[in-house]
Amino acid sequence: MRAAWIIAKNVIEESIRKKEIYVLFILSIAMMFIVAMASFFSLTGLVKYFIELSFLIITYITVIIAVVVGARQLPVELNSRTIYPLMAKPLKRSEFIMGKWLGTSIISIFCFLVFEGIFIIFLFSKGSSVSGILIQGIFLHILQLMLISSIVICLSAFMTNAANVTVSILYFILGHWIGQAISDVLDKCGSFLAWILKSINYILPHLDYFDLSKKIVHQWPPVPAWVITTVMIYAFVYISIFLLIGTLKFQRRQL
Amino acid sequence: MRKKEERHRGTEYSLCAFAALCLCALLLQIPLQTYHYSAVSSVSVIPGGEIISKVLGGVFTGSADLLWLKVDEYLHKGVTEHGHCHILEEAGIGVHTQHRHELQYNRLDKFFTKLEYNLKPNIEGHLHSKRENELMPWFKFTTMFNPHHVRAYAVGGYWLAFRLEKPDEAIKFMKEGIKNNPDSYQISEEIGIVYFSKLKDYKKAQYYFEKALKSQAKMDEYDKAGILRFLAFSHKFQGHTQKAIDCYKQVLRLFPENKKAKNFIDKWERGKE
Repeated sequence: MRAAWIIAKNVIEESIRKKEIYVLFILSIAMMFIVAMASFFSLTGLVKYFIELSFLIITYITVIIAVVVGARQLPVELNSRTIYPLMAKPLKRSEFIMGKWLGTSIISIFCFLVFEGIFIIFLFSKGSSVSGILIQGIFLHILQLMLISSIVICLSAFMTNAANVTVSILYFILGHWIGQAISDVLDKCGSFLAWILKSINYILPHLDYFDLSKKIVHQWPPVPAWVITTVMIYAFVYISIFLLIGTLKFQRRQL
Repeated sequence: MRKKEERHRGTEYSLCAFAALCLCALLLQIPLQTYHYSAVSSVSVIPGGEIISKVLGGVFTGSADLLWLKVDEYLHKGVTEHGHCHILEEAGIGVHTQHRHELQYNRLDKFFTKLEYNLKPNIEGHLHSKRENELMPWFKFTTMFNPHHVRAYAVGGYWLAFRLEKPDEAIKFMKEGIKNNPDSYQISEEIGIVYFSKLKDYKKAQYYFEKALKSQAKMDEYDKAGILRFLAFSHKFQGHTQKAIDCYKQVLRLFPENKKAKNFIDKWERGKE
């Protein structure tokens, strides 16, 4: 575990050295500022549109950070051959994958929490407060970032950096629609097709389970504890599966 | 070896680009299929260049349609689906109907359905009247993306004037709509109604009702009769009884059996004597 932590620290240090996170940071703060300052028909007390757009910006930017940071980990190490001295050390390949995932997750979660802090300051300035559902939404998005990091690290064992970024972002967008799209067509399908669709529905992780944005925007009461616990277990099961697949693939690689 | 690798990478890039294009196409289709009051009309969004207009116009009107759907979503506190769902009924959630269906749901299906039910806004209700101002940014966003979205101008104007008591802002917003859609009778009619009902400025109301009637856009008989009724009262309140009677006579030409029109004509003609 200590070895994994050292790898994770390297990922964090390398991400801090690179400039892309700062660019994304400035971009998202600027967008949030513009959204917060917008005025509509001299109406006061408009909060919902601000919560919706800010949460959307934060969600996408942090997912992009997780994908960009995670996707380059294995391909860059392999191309620059920095992986060879690492593998010569007493380091298990599973620890290497675990460390890469941990580093990617920490950097994206850190950015997310910074963005959320700024978002909450804007929220207070608009006369609103932090609700229970917002805290639950933040927690679920942290789980989502961990899950996406695991998907990206797993895919980086199979494909190139660019392909990984495209596939991961596509999956992030589609992952919110899968359940809805399948349930919409399920009633119209034959039994065999319905069985296939239901299998896909169960195999692929549903990213919409981590999205409480609509309930946050419309100020619904917090969801029951069993729901949060279930989603947490759901996330950790999938994270374990993706990290295991990534490790198995990486272990098969001749270095 | 390197050439093979490069070719392999090229195929990967092409596949990724193709997938991204398919996704864009798919996302643009979603709002167009579910949108009941589609604003996607034959009107070209970007003047000049039919092809550019078709490609970019589709993006803008598609986005505007999505934003327009937000108004409905906000009005129903985030609930976007209003129909009943079989699996929810099976799971013991929602109203059970007599509708028969063939699919069987197992315990796992029901468990995940309950989970989803708890994660999304689920009980339909209307926005509290004090929070109705939260709808307004979406009217503005819709018209920013598609300045030809007549319905957004007309409904937004109504909401501003009558629900939020901001008739001046409503008129300003709808005048912007008329500038972008000179042929729209709906916006002119709505401005006329605001002047008539809220500001009691019957002269200006008359101007906008007449402008609506002169519109080149296709107008059905019911809409025309509605505008004529308002115009009749605008004349009447300015003391022009004969003009008011003439308006109601036009209504009678459209709907000969309309008793209210007959009554008003009789009453006002008797009043003249």
